Amino acid sequence: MTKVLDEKISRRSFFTKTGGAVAGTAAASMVISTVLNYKGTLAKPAVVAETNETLTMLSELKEALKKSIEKRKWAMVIDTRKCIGCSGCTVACIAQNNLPPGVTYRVVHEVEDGEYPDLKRFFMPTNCMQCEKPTCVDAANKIIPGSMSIRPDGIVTIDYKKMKGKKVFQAAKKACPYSNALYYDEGKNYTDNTPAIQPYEKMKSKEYKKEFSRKETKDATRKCHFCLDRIENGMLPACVSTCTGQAMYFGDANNPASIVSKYIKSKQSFVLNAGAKTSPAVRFVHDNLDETCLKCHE
Amino acid sequence: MKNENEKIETGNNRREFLKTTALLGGGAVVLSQFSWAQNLIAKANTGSLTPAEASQLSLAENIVHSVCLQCNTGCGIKVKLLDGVAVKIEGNPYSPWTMVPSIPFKTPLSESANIDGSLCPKGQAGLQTTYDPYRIVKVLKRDGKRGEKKWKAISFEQAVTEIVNGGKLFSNVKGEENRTVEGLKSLFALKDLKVAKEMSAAVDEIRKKKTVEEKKTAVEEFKKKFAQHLDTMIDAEHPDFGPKNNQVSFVWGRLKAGRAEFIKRFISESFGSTNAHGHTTVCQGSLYFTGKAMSDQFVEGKLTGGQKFYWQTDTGNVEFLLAIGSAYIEGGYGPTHHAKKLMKNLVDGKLKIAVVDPRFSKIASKAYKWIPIKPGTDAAFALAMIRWIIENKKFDVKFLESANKAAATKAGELSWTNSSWLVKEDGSFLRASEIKLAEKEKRQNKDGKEWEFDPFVVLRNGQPIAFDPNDDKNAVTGDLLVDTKIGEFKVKTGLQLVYESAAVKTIEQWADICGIEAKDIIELAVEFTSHGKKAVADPHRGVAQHTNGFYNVLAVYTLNALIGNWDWKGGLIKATTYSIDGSKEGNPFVFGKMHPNKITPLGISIIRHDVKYEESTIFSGYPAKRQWYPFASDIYEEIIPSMADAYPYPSKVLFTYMAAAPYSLPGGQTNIEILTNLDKVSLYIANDITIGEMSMYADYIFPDVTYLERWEFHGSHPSIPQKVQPVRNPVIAPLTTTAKVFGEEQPLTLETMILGIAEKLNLPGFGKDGLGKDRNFYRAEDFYLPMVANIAAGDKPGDEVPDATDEELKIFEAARKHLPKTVFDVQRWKAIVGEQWWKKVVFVMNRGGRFQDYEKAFEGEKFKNKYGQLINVYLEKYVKSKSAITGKKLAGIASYFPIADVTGKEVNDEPDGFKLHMITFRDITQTKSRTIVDYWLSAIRPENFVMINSADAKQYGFKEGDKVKFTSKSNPEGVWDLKNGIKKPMIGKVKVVEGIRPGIIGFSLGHGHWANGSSDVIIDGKKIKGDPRRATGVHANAAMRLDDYLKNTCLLDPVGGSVSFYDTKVKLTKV
Repeated sequence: MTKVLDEKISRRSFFTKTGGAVAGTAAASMVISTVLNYKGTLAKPAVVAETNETLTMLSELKEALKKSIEKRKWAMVIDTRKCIGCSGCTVACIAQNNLPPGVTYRVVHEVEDGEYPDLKRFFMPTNCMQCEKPTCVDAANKIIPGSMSIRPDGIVTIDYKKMKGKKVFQAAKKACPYSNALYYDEGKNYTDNTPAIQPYEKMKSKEYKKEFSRKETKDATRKCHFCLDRIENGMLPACVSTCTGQAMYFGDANNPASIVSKYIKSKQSFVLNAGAKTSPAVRFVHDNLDETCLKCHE
Repeated sequence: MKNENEKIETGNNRREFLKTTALLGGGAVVLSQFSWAQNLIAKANTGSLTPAEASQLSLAENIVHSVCLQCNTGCGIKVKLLDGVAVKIEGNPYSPWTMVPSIPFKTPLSESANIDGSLCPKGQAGLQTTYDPYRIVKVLKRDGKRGEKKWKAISFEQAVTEIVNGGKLFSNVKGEENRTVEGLKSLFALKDLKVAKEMSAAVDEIRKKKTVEEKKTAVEEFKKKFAQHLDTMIDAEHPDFGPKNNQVSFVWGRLKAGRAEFIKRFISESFGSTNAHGHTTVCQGSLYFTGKAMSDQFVEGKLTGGQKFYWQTDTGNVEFLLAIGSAYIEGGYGPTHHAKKLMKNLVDGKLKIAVVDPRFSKIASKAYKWIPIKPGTDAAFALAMIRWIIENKKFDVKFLESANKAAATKAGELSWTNSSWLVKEDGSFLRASEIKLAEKEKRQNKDGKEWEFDPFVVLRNGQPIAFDPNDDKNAVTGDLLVDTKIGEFKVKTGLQLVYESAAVKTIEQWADICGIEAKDIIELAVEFTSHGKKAVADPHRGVAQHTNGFYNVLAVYTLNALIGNWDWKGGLIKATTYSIDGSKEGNPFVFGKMHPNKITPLGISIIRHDVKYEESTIFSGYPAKRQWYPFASDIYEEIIPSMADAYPYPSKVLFTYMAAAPYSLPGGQTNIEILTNLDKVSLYIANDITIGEMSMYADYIFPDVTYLERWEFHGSHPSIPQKVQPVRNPVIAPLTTTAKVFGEEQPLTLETMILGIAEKLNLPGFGKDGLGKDRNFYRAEDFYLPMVANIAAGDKPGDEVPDATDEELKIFEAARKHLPKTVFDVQRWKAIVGEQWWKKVVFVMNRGGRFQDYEKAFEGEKFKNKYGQLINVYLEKYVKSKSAITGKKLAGIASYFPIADVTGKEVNDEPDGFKLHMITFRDITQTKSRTIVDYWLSAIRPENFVMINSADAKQYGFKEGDKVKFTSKSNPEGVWDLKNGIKKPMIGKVKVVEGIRPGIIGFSLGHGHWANGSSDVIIDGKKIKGDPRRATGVHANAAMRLDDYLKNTCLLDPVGGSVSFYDTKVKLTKV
């Protein structure tokens, strides 16, 4: 049975960015056991499964690409138990898409819960959920028709030429039931106000099978597109391949044997804010939902 | 299990395989990785999958494999290039750091091109270290006082000439109009190889003299014998200071193999200075030097030859990881490979983690148990566990009883200890001849040299037995807990001494010292002894970087010895590399023979390492002016302060490479004061990428290239089971300007600086025939490519890598088409290694190094790249040595010592109002002094914080975000005095957390810069504005406690040499 979470935080602002000012304050009411995650039994004999899930996913990806686009459905699963909160994915995303300051398609939240010395800490990577019924698309297209669309493989896309300006950005952001999905591109450089703008910032970013200079994406709304240019070239999204904890899975949900399908079917996976009924393509895995996520997400 | 396995191996159904993958804690799967991995890669690369508009970035010809250097982990990288610009860095799938398990080494490049491994955020941001707007590209010369941040760009030729010839180099600077700087030329005093060798032998003789009088006589003899050459000496009355050459020092921060040999060749083997010093003690010196002590071997009558290294956990197979002061997924050599292995085993239910650390580290968030211990009490903790384990007889008797190699083999072990060896009351081992158990025996070594063997002794069932520790035929085992008398000698075993050291306090008393509960210690001891060999107590910086660091580490490693986990899968393992120096059979380039006129440096180093105070000509009773270090080296915090004290002798010229001592060291501000004193350091030449926290005090800065533009051999770390040698090699065109050296145009790099000086000084071992007959040494690659050939050759004939195919040769060249001739010239490169080795060199470089396949690292449950030698839990050599300050014998066994200065006086500043105990930690986005240049990392972590427990915050009235100033007994003003008129206060922002022990505060390293692009500098009269984003946060090292006796350096470990990072009490004041 899949647990349903609501991302609306009821009691207090619980999630903060890893890089943000505060990694959660401890609520006095939440004293919990120090014994976490560990399920108590050791597999015997303890043998390492020398599997290479990256290669398996790559192989599945190639299989999926053989099919026509409408026959595949991309999905991402994030096993938060394995996330170490390193934010390698965030930087990989910036580097892959040559993103300007203020924009990253992926952030990792850090949550500390409990009171000294009975503590828990979680890391929660989030990005655009690539919803099957995305509320942002209608909201954006109402203001500027053709701003956003949904590809047959489930990826929600933005037309950078059309989706310009704060108004459409804010409308889409407001309509989105998730935080940290949409970003506004102010066209800045990381090396502005230094002795020289560096060459990597002058390179064009390759997204949606096109190339964009920084000028061209200025004032556009930006968001995760599952690294579609990577996946269509037989590579995994940048965040997935760089994940140091191998906490992320990516693949074709229409292939019942794929790793992501296994996770989707598993009892421990869930979607955030299912109540919004947008059918997100990104799922999460965690133990003890009642004791963790559900404490703050209704 | 077996059946599942077979299904996979026959490869008839990939779905079957997927069903059995360990999803969501499912069953363990044993796989023969290399058959199916090959199939998957092949599958992934066939079929009609490649879209027409193939991404340039997935083409092998746009990829160069190399090695990261954003920290010292050494992850393999694959750099993707567009038009010669590095645009994206990925993990190298051939590297065991970045893919677990790595793809088979022989996988063709065409198949690996779109397989990306993982990297941490620093690795992902690495191209910003290269494309940094604050990099220097020309040689800079000081155009104002030291530290005044005024520079002029000068030509490479001018810089080299001035440094070599000396003169009134800074006559334009006020106060220095008449100062004459001595150049390298006059300090290159002793050049005669024969004389140097004879002097060295004569100095050895002086050292051996027992009394001051005898030494005096020997010195007079020396003066007579070398009367013609006394002008080459620093001080003829003290020949053991060595020649004037020693007044030139070369000091480095992060340095790996290749460049290490390059520097050593220059400063030691050619210039003849003994002062070539690294920075080990600021990292985890006492971890290395405990490893060295414990790996000491009995060779030809002497205990000698310990390795400067340490052991770490086989994280892929361990069942119980007790991480002590070890931030496994933030620092501690790599989140990449550790995280992948640990997280998988954790969710699969195969691993338990417990963490002993005053801070709730990230690894603690994955642990079932967090023990917030008081800093500096790790030995007390380990001794409590040791006591429980011995008293409850939970130790591995078979392992510990084995007294020699044969016994270990018989017991099914690869290594053995001296736990059962008998030790006399005076601390030395009982020898068989002393109790007439056996006669001394004359033996010959392989060179025919005779040595005397006097067997060691164990007691077995009351009977003494003589043995040879290295005997691989006659197994000898000894009783473990012995306290008896044999003849006239009172004897105890090593383990008995360990037990007695652990039994000086009850477990409750130990727990009290640690500020934790005895029941937690017992619970951990039970768990630790419940996994056979697959448990490890793993110490790191948190254990080593204290004044008692050496004995803390010894206690934790002794704890491991009790379960005998060395060389076992899931136990303690060591690093193994393919060697670069040609010392293996059949290697084409034997570097040992490639220096035609190698000089042997002689004399005591300025940090007095590898030498006993009592043997020197300046021995004058206790205390000595500064500490001496017979068992440690690379004592970073002693280098500049010893120059200030001119102890044992004055220094003149300082070279630094990748060094930021003022920033990195605790109490590093003392270095600033010394560096600005022209009398203490008369000429300072820095090699750096930017104008850094140390190089800003230099007279000349030679620009270096970054890790994406150069060579190095990164070696391995003890947690990597495979034999490896990652090869760092030029990926992009160097961004520095060029110079002509030995008639060849080359980019400004560390190597070019050295080559230029060597040319000007006409140093042996460089230039024409510099590497031997018909082997010129004109350029960096003349030195490095032969090393790659040695790696390709492997351990012995038959171990060579395959030749690169024609296709891969083409890819190799195509991927380097953007490199200028000053760096890459395929014909020249090929000529260096010769046709025979070229294709093998390309095979290695195409993969960013040589990496053994995972399956070869283990044989059953045992580790194949084994340590396999004696492990000392009792250190006889130490008991026979004294502290140069206290004159007291060193301890030879795991022991607990309170935090103290070098005189042994306990440090306690609480009565003076300094009540908060300060610790530091690693944030994954920063590597000490050098990653603030990476803006993508600052985007994640714009600043650091002063972490404080909510109870303390309440007590002191601090709120989240409050700004607080650090003060301490050593720094009551709470500032960095930059000695250029600027005092930078140590002010940080409070972050109130639960995850730190009350009474402890912490800040992460990497912020709070004052140089490195964070402040304005003037070059050629033009102001270069600093970037405030590089100056954020706080760096409170200047608050760290100085040693009351030494005064100009931090508290330190007098045995292992480590600096103390975690022994300072501070006061925080709201500002």
